[in-house]
Amino acid sequence: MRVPARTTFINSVAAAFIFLFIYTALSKLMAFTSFKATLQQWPLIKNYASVIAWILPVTELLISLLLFIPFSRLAGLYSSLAVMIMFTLYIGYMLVFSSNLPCSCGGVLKQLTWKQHLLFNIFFTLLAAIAAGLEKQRKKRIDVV
Amino acid sequence: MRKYLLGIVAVALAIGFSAFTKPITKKDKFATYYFAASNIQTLANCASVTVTFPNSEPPQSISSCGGSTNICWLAFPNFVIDGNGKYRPSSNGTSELTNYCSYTASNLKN
Repeated sequence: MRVPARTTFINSVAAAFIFLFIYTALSKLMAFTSFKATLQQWPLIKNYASVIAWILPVTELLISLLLFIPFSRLAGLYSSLAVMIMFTLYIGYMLVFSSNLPCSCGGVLKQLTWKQHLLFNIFFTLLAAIAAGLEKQRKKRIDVV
Repeated sequence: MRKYLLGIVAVALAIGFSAFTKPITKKDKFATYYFAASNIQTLANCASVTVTFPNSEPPQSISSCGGSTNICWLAFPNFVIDGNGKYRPSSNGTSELTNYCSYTASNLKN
């Protein structure tokens, strides 16, 4: 049976987010002490750094699980979209007010400059939005049939 | 099973990739050091910095940071290694470097 291009696109975006979230979550957990120490220097969230240091990677792993299971993929795409919007807004804030601070992103993403990171996030935010829209349409169509 | 194939590949790649990449800053481009805030005053308004690179994890808690238990940090771009475990700012380091003075400590972390 031939898989429609739309489904292939949705599955590919889900797989890309699974890769991204698991990779960054594991990288954060493997360097937990320095990750937490970096968060403690960030404006707005530094008072909650200890809690956020756990919440972020755990949330990323949970979203990966939602994306992995076909039944919950739409919820996973919406969650990815929400998280990416949040990250993008925060990076925008950092770019304007605290661009001298290091990024607490996991793994090789730490090598990106704030501007590169902003573009990276905008790209993935758009991907999540498109995939979530297409998946919603696909589910509606299945429900009607 | 086909439904899960891409997801399984993504999970495997993510685990493999995270195992082979270390989540630290690139030493020759950007170094981040954590230290106690009590040293901030001695670091201010000085021309250069010399730090000992211990190549080890930072301690779970170090001395107080402005009265609290925060770990502080300094980020120096354009570091070079002098061959004796010392990291120094390169000659074309940015203006950030000019604000810090000589500093050696055993609880630094790249």
